[in-house]
Amino acid sequence: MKNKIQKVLESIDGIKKANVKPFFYGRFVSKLKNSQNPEIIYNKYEKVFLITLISFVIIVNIFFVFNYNDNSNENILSSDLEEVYFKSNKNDIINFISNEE
Amino acid sequence: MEEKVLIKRLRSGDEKAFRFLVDKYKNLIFNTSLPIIQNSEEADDLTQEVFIQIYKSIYGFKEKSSLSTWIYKITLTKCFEYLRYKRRKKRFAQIINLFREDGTSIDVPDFNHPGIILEKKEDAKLLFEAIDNLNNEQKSAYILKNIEGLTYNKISKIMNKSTSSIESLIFRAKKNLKKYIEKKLNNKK
Repeated sequence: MKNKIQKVLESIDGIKKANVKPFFYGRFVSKLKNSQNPEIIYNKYEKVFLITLISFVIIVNIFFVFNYNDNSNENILSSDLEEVYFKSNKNDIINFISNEE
Repeated sequence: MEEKVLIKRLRSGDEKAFRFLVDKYKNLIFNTSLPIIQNSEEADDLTQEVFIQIYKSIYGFKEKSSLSTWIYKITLTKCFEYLRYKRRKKRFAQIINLFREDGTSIDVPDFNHPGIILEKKEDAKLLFEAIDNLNNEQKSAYILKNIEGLTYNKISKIMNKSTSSIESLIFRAKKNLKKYIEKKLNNKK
């Protein structure tokens, strides 16, 4: 086993240097020009921007959904109160008058 | 071309000087990044990124070290930045794999270094797999010593560490490599 391990460790002995693919300088110059393009800023931050935008839309939607639910509850409550108030109002007026007399 | 003259000409925007720099150092950067990135296409890409960084940073080069030391430092930094990005992508791919209908997964192919002779390719494949499992410091020290063939002194300047720290890193790297290789060989049995 030790021999095998040593053999594996020695497998890179005499390793030859690899070369880059042909026309490296041309490809590099092209990449350099692209990196200096102002649009790259958008490309770099596109994902971050989209995630932020979608998160914002979702949060706003959740906010309005909860707000709408709260308002609807209030509406039901106030209409109940209105009903109760108007129902009792007539009797109260009559009673009041009768008491005075 | 003498180094000081080259740096001066690079700072003045001399294209011929930059071409000279690229021709002189392209294979150095490629061969340093190849065992770290373990993919020829990506290492080629990264080599271009290193030159872009050199182009942008040449004015900030304080000449406290040699140009080659500085270039090695940029190469190592770019390699580890790239590996962090690759790891994030791999995590995302693992999540996607869960949803693949055919149950197959996207596997990363084994790395075949173009400079290894045919008889040693299988052993070298295992070694590079083991190197990939080292931490960044051990990986850098091991590769710079055993693949790039640099001296301890040169490596200590590149990594900003003492020569004794570099010796210690290489010692621990070899120990970890042996452990990993032994485990893999035992698993094969």
